[in-house]
Parts: sequence; structure tokens; C-alpha cells
Amino acid sequence: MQGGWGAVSSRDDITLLARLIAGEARGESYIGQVAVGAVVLNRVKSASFPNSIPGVVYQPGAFASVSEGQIYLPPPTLSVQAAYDALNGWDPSFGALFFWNPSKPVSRWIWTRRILITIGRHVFGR
Amino acid sequence: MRRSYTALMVVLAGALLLTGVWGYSQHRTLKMVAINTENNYQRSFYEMVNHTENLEVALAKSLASSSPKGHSWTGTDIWRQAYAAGENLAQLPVSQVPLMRTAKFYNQMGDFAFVLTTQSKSNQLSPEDRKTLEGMHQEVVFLNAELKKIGSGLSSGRFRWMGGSGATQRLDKTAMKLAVSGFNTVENRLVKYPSLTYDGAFSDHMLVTRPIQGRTVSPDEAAAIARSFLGISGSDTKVSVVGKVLGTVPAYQIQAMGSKNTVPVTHVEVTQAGGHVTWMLKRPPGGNVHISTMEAQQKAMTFLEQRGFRDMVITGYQKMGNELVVALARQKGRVLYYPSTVKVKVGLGNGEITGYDARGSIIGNNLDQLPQPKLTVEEARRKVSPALKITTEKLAVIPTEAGKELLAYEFKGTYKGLVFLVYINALTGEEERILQVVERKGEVLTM
Repeated sequence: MQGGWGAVSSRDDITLLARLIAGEARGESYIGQVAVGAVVLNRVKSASFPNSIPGVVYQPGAFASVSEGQIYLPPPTLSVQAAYDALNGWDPSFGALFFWNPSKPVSRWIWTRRILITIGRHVFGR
Repeated sequence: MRRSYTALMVVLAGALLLTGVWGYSQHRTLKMVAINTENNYQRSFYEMVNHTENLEVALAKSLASSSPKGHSWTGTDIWRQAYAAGENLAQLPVSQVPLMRTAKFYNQMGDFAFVLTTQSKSNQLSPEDRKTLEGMHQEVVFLNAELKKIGSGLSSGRFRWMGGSGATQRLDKTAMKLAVSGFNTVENRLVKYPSLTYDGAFSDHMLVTRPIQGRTVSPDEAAAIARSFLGISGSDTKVSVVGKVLGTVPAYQIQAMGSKNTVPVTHVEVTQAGGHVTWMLKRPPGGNVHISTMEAQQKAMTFLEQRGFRDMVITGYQKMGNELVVALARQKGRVLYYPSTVKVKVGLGNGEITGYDARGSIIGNNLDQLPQPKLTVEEARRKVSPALKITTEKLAVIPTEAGKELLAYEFKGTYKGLVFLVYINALTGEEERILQVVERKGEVLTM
């Protein structure tokens, strides 16, 4: 069951989510950062992805910043606040499971996803 | 001349030697790291194989059992093995699409088994459940056969995870075949259990219970609604519709610009039906804390009252940096209606409202059609564990996982210094839910 009632997030999860947001959405607007956090949480809830924040974040090949080790940098305050908002249910990505930067090389498959919204440099889809 | 030439040669030779030594030690470290990574992948793979084999047996036993106890026990085993297999799968470098489908397969199997476990009351499986289990069993048999092939390839050294050859591609192909062959049967079957297919932030299935009321509003009207909601009076701040939300609840995505109209600062979502503001989020203002938690809570309350909310009470709050998130729910008479919970985020610098989430409240409520409780408060209190020391009690409507609502008595009790909320069904007397109330450093959370 996906968390069900009262899925608890430990302090470590918040820091991890904040670091992921910082790694993937550096320089993006606040809303863009919350949206990236929301994608992680949408994946946790989805049956097609791992069932925990660490599981989603560290899934091999899922996020470029994780593969490249940028996730070990301490997160800026704004990213921590974005992580909190995402955990509290705000989802500017409208339920997206994927996000990508169209100006960077991405797999062809990702363009078969339904695009929900564009925020800053990222396109969000499902 | 000759001597310096020799000296140069010696120095260069020395440098070359050092470089060689350094290069070799780098190579050894790299090799160790690669071996370590390969080992981790292999371990995850073999764990997954282990669990999938156990899964096959558990499914078979479930088909053979003829007692609620047997179904409960095998259901638990299926659930456990399916999730463990899924966890290990998530550690493997399998590419996106095959991974998603196989993960979904394991997850949904686990969810289905969980439902079977908690709801099995009769001896025999219903014909549909039997058919679903048989289908699942067949799929797992197929999966195990394929995994065995990959496993033997790994043992013989033919495949490796690292280096992007063999093993990854083989598992990809297996997963794709699995997806094509019979996965749809499982998926169609599970549509019956709405909570199991909960798979999005807007929890589509929770809204199936009640459509949103109201006539359709145009994009311009929606922008005007957002403008007045945010309290923007001047016409120099640009508020515009930037997109549409596609999904169960069609809505407009609206942005309000910051000063100088260059950067969007606030996002608002307004539904097409009825023009209801679903949520709003603003970039948090920096700065220090100047107002207290109490004042912030009051600001949240006032904000809601100004927008037509009545009878709201605060059910929890959490402080994050220089903001406070307050959760409020509607209390009508003596009943607290949790599904209508609204969240308001208040900046602790100057008390401005920086966030709003009313998705629960716009789907309306059935407060006027509430059933009468069949139990009295005293009868319900007797159902609560005698270990708890009860401090307060009230009636409440709580949401269930299946997207429904139920009327319950809420008892707040303490045990060994820990605080709990226990919900006793007001019609059946069953203990429906337990929450732990955690209070720390000025925040009150329920888990």
C-alpha cells in the first residue's frame, strides 16, 4: 500500500529531497523547484516507481545530478523550503512523473509522455 | 653537455615511472570500485530472484487454500515477497520503460494481496479473485523462467551489469515481454479497488465520489477570480492564464507577476467548473520572524473567513523556516469534517499568506446528510484500548483509503507520555484508525 494514511517523512528524507531539488533545479524559480520535488513524491506514490523518497532519488539512472554526485552538496535554504512545500502537498507539476530540459539531449521515449506544464527550463509530463 | 643529457633522461624516466605507478594504482582502485558496484547489482538481482521464486509458491498456495486464515497468511506472504522483489528491482540499472512496468507489476500484486488479506472473510475465493490469482501465478512462472536464464548467464560470466551489455538488455527484454503478455489482465482487475490505483498528486479516484459544482468559467473570469483571491487591486500587476490542467478536474493555471512584471511570483489554480481556487503558492519572502505562531494562525483564519469559509477550526500546524503551515477543517455543530481540510501557509515576517491548498474542500461535503451515530459516546469509549487515558472526545468525519468517508468518534488519549487519536466507527464500533500526535518545538503534527 502506498503509504496510506499518515506517511511519515523523516528529517533525513527532507534533506535528501532538498538536495535533489537543488541538484536538478538549480537556478529555477521557486515554483519550478517545488514542482521538481513534487515529481519525486508523485513517483513515490506511483506503483511504477520505488516506494520511498530514497528509493526514487537513488534509482540508478533516474536523475543526472545523482549520477554525477552533485547531490552531496549542501542544499540552499530555498530548496529546503521547496522540499517542505512539496511534502505538504503543493504540486505545481500537476501530477507529473517526469521532467526534462528540452534543450538538453534526452531519450526519444520521454517525448511520448503527455506534457502537463512548462516551468522555466523544464517540461513536466506523465 | 652529455652529463645534463643523462640527468634529463634520468629525471624523465623517473617521472614516467611515477606516472606508471600512479596510473596502475588508479586502475586498481577503479577496478575495485567497479567490482563493488557489480557485486551490489548482482546481490540485488539474486535477492529479486529469491523473492520472485517465493512469490510463485505463495501464489500457488493461495490458490490451494480454503480458509480465511489460509488466505490471510498466504496473502501476507505474497505482499511481502512482491514488495521485496520490487525494492531490489529498483536497485538495478534497468532502463525506464521496462523498469516501470515490472515495478508496477510487483506493486499491484502486493496491493491486491494486501486487500485479499484484510478482506477475506469466506472460505473460498470468489471466482474473479481466483482468476486474477491464476493470472498472476502464470505471469510469475514466466518471469521466473526468464530470470533463471539471466541468472545462469551471470554465473557463467556471459552477462555483466556493468559495461552495459548482456544482463541489462536481457532483463529489459524480459520485462517488455512480461508487459505485453498478460499484464493488462492484472491492471483491469485492479480498477475495482480505487485505493490501489491511486497514482497521482490530485488523487483522481478520490474525486470520483463527487463532481465539482458550478458553471464553466472562461479564462478571463478565472484570471479575475485569481486576482481578487490574491487581493491584488492595482492593474499594474499582471495576472494571466498560462495553461490548462488536463485531468479529472479541468482547471486553469494562472501566474501573477512580481514587481516590475518580469518574474512570476505566485501560481494559482482555478477550476473550470465553478471557478474555485484549488491551490496557490508564492515564493517565500526572506527575512526574520516578527510575528508569533498564534498571530500567524489568526492570519490564516482571517484569510479564510474573508474568502467565505465558515466554522473552521485549526487541526494542526507546522513551522518551516520563517513560515507556518496551518491545517484547518470545518466543524459543523459537534462534527469535525476532516475531508474539508484546508492548508494555509503564513509568512512569519509580516503575516502575508504565501500558500493555500483547498483541494479537499472544493469537492463539497455531505454534512447535511450525515447519518446518526448508532453508538453513544460511552459505548464508543469502551471500544478504545483501556491502556489509553482519554482526555477529549468528539465526533468527526474522516476520509478512508478507498476514497469514501465515515463518521467516527475521535478520542484523544495518552499512553506513557505519547498522545494518540483513536477513531471508533460511530455506526459499527470498529476501531478504524489510530494517529499519533507529535508535538515538538512549536509544531503539532499527526502521523
